[in-house]
Amino acid sequence: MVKFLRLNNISVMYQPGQYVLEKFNLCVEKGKFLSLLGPSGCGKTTTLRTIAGFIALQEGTIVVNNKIYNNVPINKRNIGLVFQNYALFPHLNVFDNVAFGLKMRKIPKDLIKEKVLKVIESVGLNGYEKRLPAQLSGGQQQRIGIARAVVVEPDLLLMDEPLSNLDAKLRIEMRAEIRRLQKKLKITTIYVTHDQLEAIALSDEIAVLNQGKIEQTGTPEEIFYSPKTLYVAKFIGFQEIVSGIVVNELNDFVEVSAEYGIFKAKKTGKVSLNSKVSIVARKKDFTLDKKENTNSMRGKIIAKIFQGDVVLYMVKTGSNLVQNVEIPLKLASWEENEKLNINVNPEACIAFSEGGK
Amino acid sequence: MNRNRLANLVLILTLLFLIGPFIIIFITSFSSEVSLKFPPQGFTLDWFKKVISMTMFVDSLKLSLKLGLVSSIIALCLGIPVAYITSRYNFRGKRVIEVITTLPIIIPQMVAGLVLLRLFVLMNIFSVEVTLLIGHTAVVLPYVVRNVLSALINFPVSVEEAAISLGASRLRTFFLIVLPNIRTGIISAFILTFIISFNNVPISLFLTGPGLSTLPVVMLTYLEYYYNPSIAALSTLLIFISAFIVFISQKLLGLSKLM
Repeated sequence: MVKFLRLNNISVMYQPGQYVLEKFNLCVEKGKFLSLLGPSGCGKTTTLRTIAGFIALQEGTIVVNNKIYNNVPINKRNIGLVFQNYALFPHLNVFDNVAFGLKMRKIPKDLIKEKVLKVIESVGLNGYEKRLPAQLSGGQQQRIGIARAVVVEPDLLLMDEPLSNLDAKLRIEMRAEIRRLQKKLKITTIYVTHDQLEAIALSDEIAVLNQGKIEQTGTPEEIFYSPKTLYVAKFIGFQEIVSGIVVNELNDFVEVSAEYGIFKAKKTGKVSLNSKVSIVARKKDFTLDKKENTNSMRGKIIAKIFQGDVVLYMVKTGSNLVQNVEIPLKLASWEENEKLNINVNPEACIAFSEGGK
Repeated sequence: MNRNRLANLVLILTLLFLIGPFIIIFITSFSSEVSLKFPPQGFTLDWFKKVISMTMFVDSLKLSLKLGLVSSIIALCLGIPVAYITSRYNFRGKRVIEVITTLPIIIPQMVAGLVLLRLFVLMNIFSVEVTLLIGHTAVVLPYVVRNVLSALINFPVSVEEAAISLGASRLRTFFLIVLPNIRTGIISAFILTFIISFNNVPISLFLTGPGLSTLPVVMLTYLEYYYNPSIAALSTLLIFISAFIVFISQKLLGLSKLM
């Protein structure tokens, strides 16, 4: 399938020699939802703003629908932008906010009215047409922000952390709504976020960014269960448990000699015999036990934090490392200062070679 | 509470200090005595009648109003683009523009007035009226830049970006989106510059003469020769004109937005 959006080797520098994006490649198929995921400063917003045209690129090409976009002015690019701070026009009411892009495209008045009312209804805000943005809640404002961007039927919908200013409950509601709308309208979407759960919930594909480069692209399942680098693993919720030297290879697994004995873990890319590796696992994959199993560490509970249906234990292991361990409430009978073993199933452990990428 | 009483006293004294002179002028302007005195004797409206019948006051009032209006409008036309460009773009020489537009606040206006006189009037480059206009515009320009700049800083760039991404050119974005949202800043800048120009003495002093003079300069000259309540009557009228302008603009804008 022909890729709808292609970024070929693009580089962006704010100052000569200082890459913000370095030789960046990215492809998105038509109608797909791609998230750019990464911590602040990783270049995800820069990527989005470069696609939009607000940032000039020094090298490479941006191709949308087989057309080179590099020299197309922003206002001729046919994009829809959704901002973190909504960026509605404060002096225009809801109707005129949504109608703005259509008016710029010189569409006849009655058609504008029809389209605007339809899109306002699709975001569930019919009846609010005469309100000013200041009279709406944050969630409503962002719905209008989205309506305003999609009503012009853009080639690309670019969203820059659109839910970050909303409270947790609303964020989850809006996730579902964005996904529903995007699927219905089949708009190719680039979504910038630092929230891995948001990216996983929304995307067809995720690109994890690190210092202006893509660390990994893949489906949400691939990113979540099979991170390819230590960086990606840490970013989507794995924590380092031990490091050591590979002493044995068994099919997909390696055995690693570490501080607490032999650890078994799934291997990735460059892990080979005698290489130094870090082993990671998720906090919910640990169990606490007096007994010792495979992949076991001794530790002492230093804190027990009730979190509703789970309990978070902070367990100090030998080398002054603290492991976060999440245990279902029913099984959380351990108390602070108890000494015990942290066990983890080798299936849930991944080994990454240290230093190398 | 004792504390509260003390605070109230301070408040009353401050208010008296601020409006006291106006009250005295206001009362004196109805005095039937021939020289300025307080407390006044008698009551008359003659001084008001006299003031509005004196062509020298009426003509200079007209000139001052015209000057205030035109110099404010020119300063807005120059100052708004400067404020917009310096707040939205980074370029070489930006600091220079910022300094030049704030310089008239620093340079003593007497000096500026003298320079304008030598440069334009005595060398017959511009007429007195045009030179006055240049001087007043220069004096009020920094206030426009500052006011509009602070309005622009409070207006998120992302809103403009939204308009551009939806297909508006930069110019259209400026007129359709930016301008309506910095309206309050612009109007408050206009009021400020109008009043500053209207009250300006130092610049005007050098550039005016018999037959063509601004109201504050005429009042100053008049006061040197005649010391009677007509000047108080005129001051009262001016206060009401200024108050009327502020009132109208607040009606147009809403008090809270201006303050």
